[in-house]
Amino acid sequence: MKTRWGLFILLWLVIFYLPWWWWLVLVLILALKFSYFWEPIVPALWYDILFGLPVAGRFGQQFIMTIGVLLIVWSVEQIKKALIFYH
Amino acid sequence: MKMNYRRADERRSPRRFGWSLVILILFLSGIVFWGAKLSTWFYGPVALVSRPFLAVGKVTVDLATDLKQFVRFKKSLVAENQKLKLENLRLKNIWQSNQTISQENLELKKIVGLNSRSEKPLLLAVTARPIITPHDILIVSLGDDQSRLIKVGDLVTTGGGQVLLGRVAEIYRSSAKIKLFTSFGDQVIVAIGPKSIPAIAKGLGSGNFSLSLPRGTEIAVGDSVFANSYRNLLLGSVGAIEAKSSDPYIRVLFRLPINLYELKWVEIYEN
Repeated sequence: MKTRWGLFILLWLVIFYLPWWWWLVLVLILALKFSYFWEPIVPALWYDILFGLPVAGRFGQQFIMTIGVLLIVWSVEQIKKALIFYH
Repeated sequence: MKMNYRRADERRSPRRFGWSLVILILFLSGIVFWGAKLSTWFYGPVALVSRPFLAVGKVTVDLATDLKQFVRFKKSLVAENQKLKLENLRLKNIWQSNQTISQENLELKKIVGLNSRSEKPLLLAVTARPIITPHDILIVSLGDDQSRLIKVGDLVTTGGGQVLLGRVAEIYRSSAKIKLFTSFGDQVIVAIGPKSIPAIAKGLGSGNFSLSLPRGTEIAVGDSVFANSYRNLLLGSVGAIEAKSSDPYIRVLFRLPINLYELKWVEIYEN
């Protein structure tokens, strides 16, 4: 539990310093490691509120990072379930 | 003989998959439809808490840039110094001739009765810039009552009001978001080179633009690109021209004449 709280704080902190694509890669790796890794949703929402704008390059959507994180975490969980040997 | 079968994995049941998908779709719909309200309510506290972290990031990047300059080899510094001296001399000459032209321009405008740009810009410090912000968005800090002095759509420039960057997109009490014209997918009407060839430039992100012109158009690498729908401000200079024998069009690539990653100040002009 402590690890997951630590990861939540770490993800929230690095969102100010890492390029967004590095952050998403980090989320993907952690989602593969931990089951139901929903911790990055709050930092992603934070990021979208702080930096987001509905621009053409982001499908006119401000909350693209949150949507991305939700899709990543959900998809990773489905893939994990489909695998016979995971843990 | 009694047989033991492996227990069915609850996590793999299709029913569970269906429910998680429904919850995901509901959550996504909530964000898409009510996201704007969420942003309006929470931007203030989020920006307030984030300010010290952004300041630390900015100071670190500035220090790293200075350190990089410091550890450069002495030899290369001497050579660069010589090169810069020559460049400085050349630019001084150009500046002097430009001064004469701009003076003449002002006088002519006065005679014809056209308004010349004389308003003072609002100088604002950049608190967050790309790569940290996505898709060419800048965050600038606003001082007391400065949020009343700007409005959405105002022009954002740099380099003494000569280089066009973008427009003010959102204004809050202590900060504002600026959308650069180089944002991916954004379009701006431009004029290229001494013949002012008209075209539409598309933002490619990270300070880059591209545009396409018919093959045979007289342009060259280094030609200046001006945004003629925005007071004819400078947008960049042509960096590369791509031509394919099978394509009747050429692709022109150009970029902003400043380094976005080192931008510290911007000037806001009323649109």
